[in-house]
Amino acid sequence: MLTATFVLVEAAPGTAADLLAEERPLPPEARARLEAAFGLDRPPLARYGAWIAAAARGDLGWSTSRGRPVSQVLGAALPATLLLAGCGLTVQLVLGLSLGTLHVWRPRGGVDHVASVAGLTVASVPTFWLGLMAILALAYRLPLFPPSSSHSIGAEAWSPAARALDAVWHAALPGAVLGVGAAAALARYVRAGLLRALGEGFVRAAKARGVPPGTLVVRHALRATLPPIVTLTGISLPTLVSGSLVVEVVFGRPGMGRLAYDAVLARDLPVVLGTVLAGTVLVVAGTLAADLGLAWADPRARAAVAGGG
Amino acid sequence: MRGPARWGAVLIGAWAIAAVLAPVLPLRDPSAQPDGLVLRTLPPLARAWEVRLPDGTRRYAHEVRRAEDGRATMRRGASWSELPDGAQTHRRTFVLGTDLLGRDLLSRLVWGARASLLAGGLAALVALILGTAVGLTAGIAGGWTDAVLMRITDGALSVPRLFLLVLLSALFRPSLPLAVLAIGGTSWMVAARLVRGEVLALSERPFVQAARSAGARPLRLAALHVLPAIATLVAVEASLRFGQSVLLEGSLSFLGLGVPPPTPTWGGLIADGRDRLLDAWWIAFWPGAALAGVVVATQWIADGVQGDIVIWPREERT
Repeated sequence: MLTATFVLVEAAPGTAADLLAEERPLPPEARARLEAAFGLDRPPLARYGAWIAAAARGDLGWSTSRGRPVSQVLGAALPATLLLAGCGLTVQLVLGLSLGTLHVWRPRGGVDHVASVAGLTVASVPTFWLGLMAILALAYRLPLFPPSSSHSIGAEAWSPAARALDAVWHAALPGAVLGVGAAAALARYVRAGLLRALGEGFVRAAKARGVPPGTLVVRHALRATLPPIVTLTGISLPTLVSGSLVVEVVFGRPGMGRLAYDAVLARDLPVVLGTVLAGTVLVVAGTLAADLGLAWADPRARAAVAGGG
Repeated sequence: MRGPARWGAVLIGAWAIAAVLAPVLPLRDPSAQPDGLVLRTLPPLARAWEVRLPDGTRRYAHEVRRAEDGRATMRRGASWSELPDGAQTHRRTFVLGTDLLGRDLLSRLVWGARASLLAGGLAALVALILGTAVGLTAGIAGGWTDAVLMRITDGALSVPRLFLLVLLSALFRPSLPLAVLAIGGTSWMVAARLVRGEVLALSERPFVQAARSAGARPLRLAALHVLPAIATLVAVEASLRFGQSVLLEGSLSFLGLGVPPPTPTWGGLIADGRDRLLDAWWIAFWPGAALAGVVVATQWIADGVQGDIVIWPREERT
């Protein structure tokens, strides 16, 4: 994947030196000095080899547009994206689980019907548009949330607790926009899983023992539907990372998505490669976490892992 | 087809017909800016006076008054001016309002459907052909071919797609063919996995085994025996993929990296209205609603084709 990315950037017209020169005619010796400084005078294959070797050591190169090491630039952007993705994931899980359970309360009734139509609609709305409308409704018309940025002005001087609260407050609305679509899909699965589980023997046995309905749904049926939900959450991770790009652009938040977008416009090859790499690492790490979560949620999977499977 | 699926088909069909017929429909020119003063950011259903002067030129006015002697005056902004004899005046309604440059949003929405639906449709086609080919090859060939193809598919699935798309669109000059190839080339993985799974399930079935033992070559097996059996699956994926591709193209155009202006696209229209959300919400609202409508319709159609209601786990939302 990284190889493909590198080849594409190489194939594109123009280099960082062209961009720095900004269309002005550049004396050949100045241009040569620039290209030598960025290593652009070496053949592509040599540069690719050097990049891979350095990346393995944690050195992702030098950002041509920001004049800082790529790892520093990425490191500065990562926390904001992690916070955003975390908020998105929380919204997705909480909303998905509670809506799915609500569905089952009155299957095929009015609430069920309205909620599933609303869910389908929300899942189909483009994220960037949902973001704009959320800003309009919940940041301007009804000023509950800040419309943009990742922290309040002057927040640097606050106590750590106040700063953290401020950061979450700023991430809440973009996080909700990021997670709500996936929540609707999740709710469908929770509903289907719950309906199936409620018909099964162990749930009926619990019911016969006199377990109250609420406990029955949450403790017994929901527990049995966890494995597919964990899997689905793992599948939705690339979406979450991709979505953060649009959400960060719409909400004007600093983060990896904004970084990738800005770097691509500045044709800053090392940063672009770095963000694609970091995004992929995030997704792979998340998928690994989902697999571990599956082992926790499903004793059968745990047995398979323990048995060397 | 059942209820919602039928409505979905009607909606998409209507958009397709409108998009094809846009040049002959009685719409205003989508890129004309006839009057920046009078027509700028008119809200939906707003009306303005169109004045046709005797020499054939067209002007717009906020207000037209006729005196009893038949002489007419018009108001543009705060200034009144007299109309020459023989000037015709009509009141025009702008159903969806106008944008910052006084362009008619209804005609921009319909014209925008052309680029958005074309790009989405072609991209979905590319993704389906690629995905079906990969899935069929992996499922029928098996062995290490299968293993290699599926590892590639898994690898492609774990890259956040929008990062890759943004990269592609910014590296090469954005254009409709690039958007189609980029979106199609990054959306084939779901189809590949679905088709491979179905092919593996089918290969145990008697009719496939019979064909194989009768000496059918892999290509013949794929084209004549397996492909017809997975047509429903492919149709469901086609419908969903179409919606997702339209959505992705919208995201790219919104970021300014999709089909380039001046061609109106739904994503581009939303970007136009982005900075004027507070005082002109309708500019961004209509194209977003249109996008959402098309995506909902594709879900309905997919549900109808498939027979029961399932939202597929969407591996990419943008």
